[in-house]
Amino acid sequence: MGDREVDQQLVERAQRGDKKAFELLVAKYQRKINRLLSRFIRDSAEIDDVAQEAFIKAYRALPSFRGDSAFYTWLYRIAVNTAKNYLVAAGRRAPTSTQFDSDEAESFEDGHQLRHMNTPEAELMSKQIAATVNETMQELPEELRTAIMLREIEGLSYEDISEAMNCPIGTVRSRIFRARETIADRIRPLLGTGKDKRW
Amino acid sequence: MERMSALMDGELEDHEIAGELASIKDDPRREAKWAAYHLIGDVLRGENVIADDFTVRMHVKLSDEPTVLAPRRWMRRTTRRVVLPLAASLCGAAVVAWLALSNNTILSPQDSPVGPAWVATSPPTEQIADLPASEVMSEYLMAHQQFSPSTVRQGVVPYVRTVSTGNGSR
Repeated sequence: MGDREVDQQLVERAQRGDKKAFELLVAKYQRKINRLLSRFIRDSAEIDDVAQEAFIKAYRALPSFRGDSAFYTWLYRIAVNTAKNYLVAAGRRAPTSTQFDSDEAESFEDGHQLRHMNTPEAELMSKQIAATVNETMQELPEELRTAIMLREIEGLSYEDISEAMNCPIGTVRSRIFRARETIADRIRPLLGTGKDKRW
Repeated sequence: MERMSALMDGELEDHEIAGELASIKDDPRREAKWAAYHLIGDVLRGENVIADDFTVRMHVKLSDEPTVLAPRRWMRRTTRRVVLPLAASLCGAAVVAWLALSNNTILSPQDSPVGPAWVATSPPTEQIADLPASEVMSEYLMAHQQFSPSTVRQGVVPYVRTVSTGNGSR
């Protein structure tokens, strides 16, 4: 099974009334949606509001999601439409449909960044988290660093990584997990009061 | 947690997914790790980190939302992929079998829907063909037998009869 199937499982649970399942999807896609919205909304507070609205719209529309497309593709369209409506309501120019084509959704990987963070403190915290992740990556044993980079940056499957690193798939799984655990432990003190701090 | 890490990567077996997802959403510690692992992946891919409590605010907002309940689809997609082609194949085979059997079945009087009407109620009587009396008529029929409608479907049989009849008439 792949990433799409995991999302589909979470969607089906949410469709059966499991809000937690939808929150797991929010945790997974919030940054991607924020980055998407930052392409045509400058203020980060506004981006946050529109992102929340988009997620709520998606939640309300869950009964109509039938899995014909990937969940993120569907969410992407909702986010773009929410942003367009927001900009029109605010009397600003909305992006044209050609600027944000749904075909772009799956491959939307360019390096647009949020232009402004909410506060200087939040911006500082964000930079610290990124720096800590990068520092910890450099300190990881070579085999753990390579495994997680091949997975997270190159997007390789465990099977492909096992071939590239000449080791069993079980070892790949273990290395990626250990890398994540090490980095997670290091960034934990930096995280806010959110759910991602409670372990 | 290692299983959750594999789940995130879409590398868990199908039968393991449901249990793992249930354990994540029932355990705040695992849920926090789920969020943190995704955060790490996003940072490594160059995403900007949202350092505020977006997920907490979303949780509050979602709590205010009425729970959605989508009607269950009558069959899961994976089931449809297997069951529908199988059902179509079985239906096709059944139609072919039915056609083949219905063409070859010889109905007994008991099997026939109009059976009782077909059953003879009196002992069979000997039927003697009402042969034409005159030799001229016989020759006429022999000469025109090839135009009989029955020859169309019987192939060479009329020809064989003609020859044998011809032999008999000599």
